[in-house]
Amino acid sequence: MKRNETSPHPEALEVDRREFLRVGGALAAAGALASAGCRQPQEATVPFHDMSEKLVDGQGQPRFFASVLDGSPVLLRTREGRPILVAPSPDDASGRGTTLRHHAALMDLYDPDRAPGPVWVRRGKGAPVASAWTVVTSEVVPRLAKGSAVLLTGPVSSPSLKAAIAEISAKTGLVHVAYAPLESDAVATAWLRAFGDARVPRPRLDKADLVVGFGAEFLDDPSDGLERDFALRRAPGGGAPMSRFIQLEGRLTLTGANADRRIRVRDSELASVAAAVAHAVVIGQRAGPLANDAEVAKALAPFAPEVVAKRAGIDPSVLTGLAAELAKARGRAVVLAGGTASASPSGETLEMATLLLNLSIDAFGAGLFDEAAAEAPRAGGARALAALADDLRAGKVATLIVAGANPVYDAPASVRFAEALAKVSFVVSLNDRVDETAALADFLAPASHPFESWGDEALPRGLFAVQQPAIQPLYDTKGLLDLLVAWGAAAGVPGAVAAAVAATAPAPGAAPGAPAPNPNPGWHYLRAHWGRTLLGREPGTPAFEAAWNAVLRDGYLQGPAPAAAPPRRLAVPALALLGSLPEAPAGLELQLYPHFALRDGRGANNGWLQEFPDPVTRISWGGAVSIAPRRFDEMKLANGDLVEVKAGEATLIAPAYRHAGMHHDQVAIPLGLGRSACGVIGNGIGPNAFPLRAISGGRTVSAGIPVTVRRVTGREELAFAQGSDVIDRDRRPLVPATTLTAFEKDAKAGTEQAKGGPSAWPEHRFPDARWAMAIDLSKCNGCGKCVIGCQAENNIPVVGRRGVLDRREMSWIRIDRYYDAPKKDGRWGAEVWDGPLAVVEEPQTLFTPMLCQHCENAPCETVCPFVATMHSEDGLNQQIYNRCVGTRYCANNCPFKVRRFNFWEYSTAKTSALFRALDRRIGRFSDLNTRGLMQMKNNPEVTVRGRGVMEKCSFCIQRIREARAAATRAGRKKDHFADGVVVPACMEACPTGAITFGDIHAPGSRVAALAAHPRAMKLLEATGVKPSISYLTKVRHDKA
Amino acid sequence: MTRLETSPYATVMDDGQLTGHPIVLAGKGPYGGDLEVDEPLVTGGKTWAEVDRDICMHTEQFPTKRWWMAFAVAATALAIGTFAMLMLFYSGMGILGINRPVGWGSFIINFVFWIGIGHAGTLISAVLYLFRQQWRTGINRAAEAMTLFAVACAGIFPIIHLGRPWFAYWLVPYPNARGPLWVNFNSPLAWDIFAISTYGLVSLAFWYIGLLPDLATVRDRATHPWRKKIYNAMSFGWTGSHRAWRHYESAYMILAAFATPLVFSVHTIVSFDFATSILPGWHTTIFPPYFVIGAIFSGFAMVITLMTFMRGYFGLTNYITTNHMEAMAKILMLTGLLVGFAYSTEFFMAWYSGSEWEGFVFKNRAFGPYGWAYAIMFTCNAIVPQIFWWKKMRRHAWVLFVVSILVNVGMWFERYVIVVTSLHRDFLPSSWGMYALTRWDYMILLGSFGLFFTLFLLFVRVLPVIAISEVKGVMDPKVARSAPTDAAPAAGMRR
Amino acid sequence: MMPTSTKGILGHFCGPDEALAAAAKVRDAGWKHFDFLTPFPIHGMEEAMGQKRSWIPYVTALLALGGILFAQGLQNYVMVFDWPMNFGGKPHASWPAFIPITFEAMVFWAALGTALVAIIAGKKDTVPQPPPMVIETGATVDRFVVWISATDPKWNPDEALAFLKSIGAQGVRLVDAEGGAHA
Repeated sequence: MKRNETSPHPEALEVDRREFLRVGGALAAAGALASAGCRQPQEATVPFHDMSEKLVDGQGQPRFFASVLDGSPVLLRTREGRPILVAPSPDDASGRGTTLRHHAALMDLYDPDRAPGPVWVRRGKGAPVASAWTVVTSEVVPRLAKGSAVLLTGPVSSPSLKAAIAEISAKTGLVHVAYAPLESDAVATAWLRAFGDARVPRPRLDKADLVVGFGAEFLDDPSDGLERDFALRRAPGGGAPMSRFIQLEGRLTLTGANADRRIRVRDSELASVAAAVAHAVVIGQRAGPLANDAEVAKALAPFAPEVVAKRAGIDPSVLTGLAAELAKARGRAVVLAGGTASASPSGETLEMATLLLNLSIDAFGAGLFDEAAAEAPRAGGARALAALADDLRAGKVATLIVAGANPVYDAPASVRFAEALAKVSFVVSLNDRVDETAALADFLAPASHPFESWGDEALPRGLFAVQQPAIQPLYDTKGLLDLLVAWGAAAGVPGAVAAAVAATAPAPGAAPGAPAPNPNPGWHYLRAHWGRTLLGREPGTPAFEAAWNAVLRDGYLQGPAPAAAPPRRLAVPALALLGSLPEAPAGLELQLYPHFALRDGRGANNGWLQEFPDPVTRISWGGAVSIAPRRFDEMKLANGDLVEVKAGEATLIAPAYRHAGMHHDQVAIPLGLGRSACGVIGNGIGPNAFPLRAISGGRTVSAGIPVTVRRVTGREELAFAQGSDVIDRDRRPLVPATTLTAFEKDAKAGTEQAKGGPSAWPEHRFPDARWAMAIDLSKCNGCGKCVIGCQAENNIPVVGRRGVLDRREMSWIRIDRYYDAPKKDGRWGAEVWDGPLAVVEEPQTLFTPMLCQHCENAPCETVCPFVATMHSEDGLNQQIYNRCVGTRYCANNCPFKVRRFNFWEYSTAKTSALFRALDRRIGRFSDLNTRGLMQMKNNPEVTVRGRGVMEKCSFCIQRIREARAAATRAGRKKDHFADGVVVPACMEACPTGAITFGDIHAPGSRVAALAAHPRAMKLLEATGVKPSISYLTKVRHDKA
Repeated sequence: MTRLETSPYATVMDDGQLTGHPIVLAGKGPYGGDLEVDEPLVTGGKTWAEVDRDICMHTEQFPTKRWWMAFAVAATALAIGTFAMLMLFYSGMGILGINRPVGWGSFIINFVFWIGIGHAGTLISAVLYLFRQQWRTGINRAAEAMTLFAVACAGIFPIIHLGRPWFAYWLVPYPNARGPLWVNFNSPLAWDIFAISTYGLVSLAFWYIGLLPDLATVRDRATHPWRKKIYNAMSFGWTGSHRAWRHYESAYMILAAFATPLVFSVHTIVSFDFATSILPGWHTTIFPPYFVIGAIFSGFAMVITLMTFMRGYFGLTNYITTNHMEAMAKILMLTGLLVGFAYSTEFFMAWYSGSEWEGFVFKNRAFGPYGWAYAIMFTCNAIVPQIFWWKKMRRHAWVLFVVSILVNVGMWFERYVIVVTSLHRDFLPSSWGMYALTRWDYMILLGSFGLFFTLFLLFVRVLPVIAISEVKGVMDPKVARSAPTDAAPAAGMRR
Repeated sequence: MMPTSTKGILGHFCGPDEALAAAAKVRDAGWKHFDFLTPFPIHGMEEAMGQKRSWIPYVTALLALGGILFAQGLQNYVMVFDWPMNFGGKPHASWPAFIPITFEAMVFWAALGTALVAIIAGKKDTVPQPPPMVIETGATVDRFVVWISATDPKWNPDEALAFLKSIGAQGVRLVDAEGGAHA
């Protein structure tokens, strides 16, 4: 088994049974402690075999904890004290959504490549050596006290952490620098200049009839939870009319793939085009409050639609038409930007133009922005980082403390951070592993995972959430807040910091045998801070404890209402941001977009995220240089051929990908890949494109970068998780889809398909409960949270890059992405790999969540000779693992190809050197699935499948049987189950409510209503398999 | 076991003189017209005694160098395959080429391939027997042996293609402690178990019954007492008593009558593995006849290959004459035409059905990424055998040999085409994929050939490769009889 | 005066036709316990020896029936009565699916049973054979041996000797238990 080379104590990762029980016991205790009202001191942990009365009910039963994980409230499901599932908080008043990273956070928690304790890294000179907290503290504290220290962090949104840092800075002169690699400050600048307040209110997509996006990426980065509001208006035939979404962008993003109309505009032109649309609205249509504003007219003058359209290579009527639509939808429309395009040099122009548009269509006046949920956008801090680098080089900084930042990896090349770092006399990293930056530090003082440590979070709408741990630290780590408070106090910081540390000592004259106080200073500081700022009471007082426990139970607290937003009146000087019409961009330009799952690459050692295929490119385990189809063909490339991308002096060699819908003059590369020191799983996966970025105007520039691309020799196979891209629905009606016009004519439009013949035998009857699912393709945006949710719930192994290349993915639910072949194309050959160029130049993208259809006449059941799969009395297609011998006949006979076969033993290491030499594919899987504590993430309700066994979606049968058992215990009837009694993992994870599951025989069941809905369609009716899953038509709003 | 109605005109010819045409005796007809006499089935004017010597000789003398060389090659191939199989059991199916769309790969291909090979033997012994084809006597013994070995090779693959082969016995419906949890009799794989085992055992019985008199012959020629004992036991103490021949013949006839439908049923049931699925390209009613014809086709090709070797190596040209080879060539050509017809019918049906899925699969088969495999299949199976329209070719040893090899290549690819091209692009384009054999697939395929030839080479050492008693039955007594003598022949020991 | 230990008498012919003709003569002469040992079966020998058709086919018919009943019984018991399950929505007693196994079982029972019975019958249904030491090895080569057993009701060594010679048998001689042969 390959060891984590950065860990000085590899054997410390090994867990034998006793050890596991011990840890497990500790976790159980921790779980109980974190639960409301438990007073046990945290260090008192109880072994499993003599568990205290309090914990007995914890066995065999999940416990749930409301907590918060970088910025989003989540619900933690634990078993015997182990977190086993991260779900979005069911009552999330903040409107914050979750991202894939939240759902996959378990893999980060149990990541065996985390540092098991403090490490003396020795600045990369010589091998790292295990160290001790006492050593680290004794090294750091004096230097902290001496001053001229800098704390470099990622964006900090925790009030108590902010307060602690402030207190420490006040005393020791610690300088706090925050750097967020993916954030661009363009939004903040524009809003600040325009309204004198950088806070950006939350767009109300649920109220908008028309949404226009200029490179908007609210579906690619759902951390602000817009996807839910958006979906509320995407299904026709509901209460509110369907909303129309028009997206202008260069690269086909997930957001653009969900647009009703998509207009290809390269990033560098997007700003001018946005301004041109504003021009057409304000001057052309004379619409809106700005219509007669001479200043605005003057500022917009350079952006005449004709001129801009000609440059951007689109028909002027497209822009004027768009303007007309906007003007018509005045007060019912909203315009969005803020995607990667805003990180282009003209980003501020883009944001400003967007603001003008929103103003001129009364978006603010009509309440299409939720001012109560206004927040300051996360700071990018590129300027600060550059300045810091200069200070480091100038030797102005004696001590650098890095916490949650990794500039050596993700800073632009021009910053030359690594070289600057060498000038600092002392560097300590508080990251969780010896990453690229920590490798150049003196010490690594590993911080605990948020699930292991206390903290808090300020959420929109004046909400405050407590980040409460669900498990004691798995390794010898400390919470970030604990560390800073402890060090601060030791460095002589008075006040709350000192008090918090003092509180950890036993009170003088305490009765012997009295429980010792909680040893975590962070916990005391946190409570004190909440007492001061929010609860208005001293910790320890019964009133405080009651309120505190209530917060822990509910997960958040409604704090004081935030300051009212300023009147949305445009400050004229801001118009300067529009500037004049820039030079027409020549040649190719590059967009560096965040990897869909990995974002900035912090979670690069997370197998679930690495394996998750990008919803648009369908590439997993790596990334590629996306090139427009026509250019791709002109360059005579094939997917996977290596190309060299040259931006300035920085160059990058990566495989090429034929990206449908990409603007002809644009290429794109994902960021967040190519980590070199994140761990065994993520190291060396994909190219690292961060160095290609530049800093201009104090902002990191990730788009509109002029580049040259040339082919170089060599190939690197891309791990596609999908076979063919294009589907001709006339011939293969596998995805019900239609347009609003057609839908209004006939609600059944789009569900046409060949009907099957009569059945040769009488049907089986399902007298009682019968489980079924309905998936609304109009609501599904293909984000894939269901995939990760399912993977976590059902212990689905990671197969690795090799496994995906071999087409041996294991995920039980996948999101098929198709490009709809145009109707006219009836020729055979419309379904070849890449599809006709016409299709991929401007594709109609269709997403289909594909999982076991639990067919009534399941073809897989008939052909299994071993009775390993058969039908249950409540309509489930059951797979019996320990009866399965692995003929794979069922998988062949499954028309949906949703059955997954365990080609390898994914859960054990094949250590025989001989056999591994004979076939190098052997034995990699334990690295991905079962190293160290990884298996602690497993759901005890679900079997871990062995080699040679077939598996597939079970509709989360463990949850169904749980509900059944509960009904039995409670003496309720078991023939029918109301909606919501059983919620499978995919449905639980789905942010848009696209998935509905339930007992189709239950009176008034929603799934029954949906299955009978005119938009409902069951796939492959002609084969007579009768799926239990109904797909509801994907309706495209085509009415301007 | 009826004897040829011999003409009053004894014909003694050498293999070289055979023309493949009847001998015309002018004016010798019953009414003074011409008389046509078939050429003798056994040439060289052999006597019955010589038959014994020629055939038993090879079981009595020490193996030749050529035999050892052949055996070494075969045994090495077998060893390689065995090693690959151990590797498979150690590490799992992952080392093979199969993946998600293509869940069945080389193993099922080889399985169907070998089962097909295994059809010629029983066909020759049973069907040709019922049709009174006298020429079968020269080749049926070896052909049946080949059948058994081919079935043995085939039988291995369904087991090792399992994800957990050590549980293969769960497929046997015996009362067990697991419920009892039986098997699913709806599944064609369950039918296979019965079909294959029945076919194997019945073929064995058929073959062994035929062996009894010849084992007695070997016994009576034996000099070493142990050899006598062993062969006597193996022949159940056969004496040649006509009271035994009576039951023997009746049983042999009945076995033939049962084996004939069995031959057709086995590959029919194998074809059900595909035909009863819902996969376009598999879900076709033509499969049973198509598979059976294909099986006979490939089986005869393999017989030709082996016979070309045998008659050369063991100097059996007088028993397996050019006429025999020509007869087999004719069958090869006929079945070749039939498979060609089946291929075209498939395409017609794909178009005629109007089913999108069906239509696509077949277009993809012929012109898709696996078009090359389809080309090999069609050329080798439907076109190459047509060379046998020319008698010259039918009687040319090397042409026969090369064509028979090509046909077997083509038949392997037929199964490749059926299994792979149907799976790799089915209903959902999102699940489309490609398939390629890994080196482990190839090693195990090689191993199966190793097993086949190892068994065959052992067979020719220990058993009469030609059905002596049957050959004697079709020889002209006038030629074959021994000189009448009043002296009692030496009495020989039997125990 | 012949030794009492005489087992019978044998002679041989060199061709099937002579053997066939001889068989008829032996039969007409009223011998009962006689047999012909030949290298290959001779067409029409049953009639010539005055034997009836073999009874094997009836055994086969019974076995075939047994196979059918077994297969149908097993499949219906398993799928319908013992543990009925819902496979792909098909009825429990989906009889078309039971046909292949029924056929195979029929063949299995009938064919293997027949082979077994035939071998046993071949051993049982015979007159006392010459002692193994003296059987002419030629009987499996090219001699068509006639054998009359001493157990024959109308056994008389001299008569038999004369008779065999008269029908043109070669190498005629009496055989005793020890295998000694004397003319």
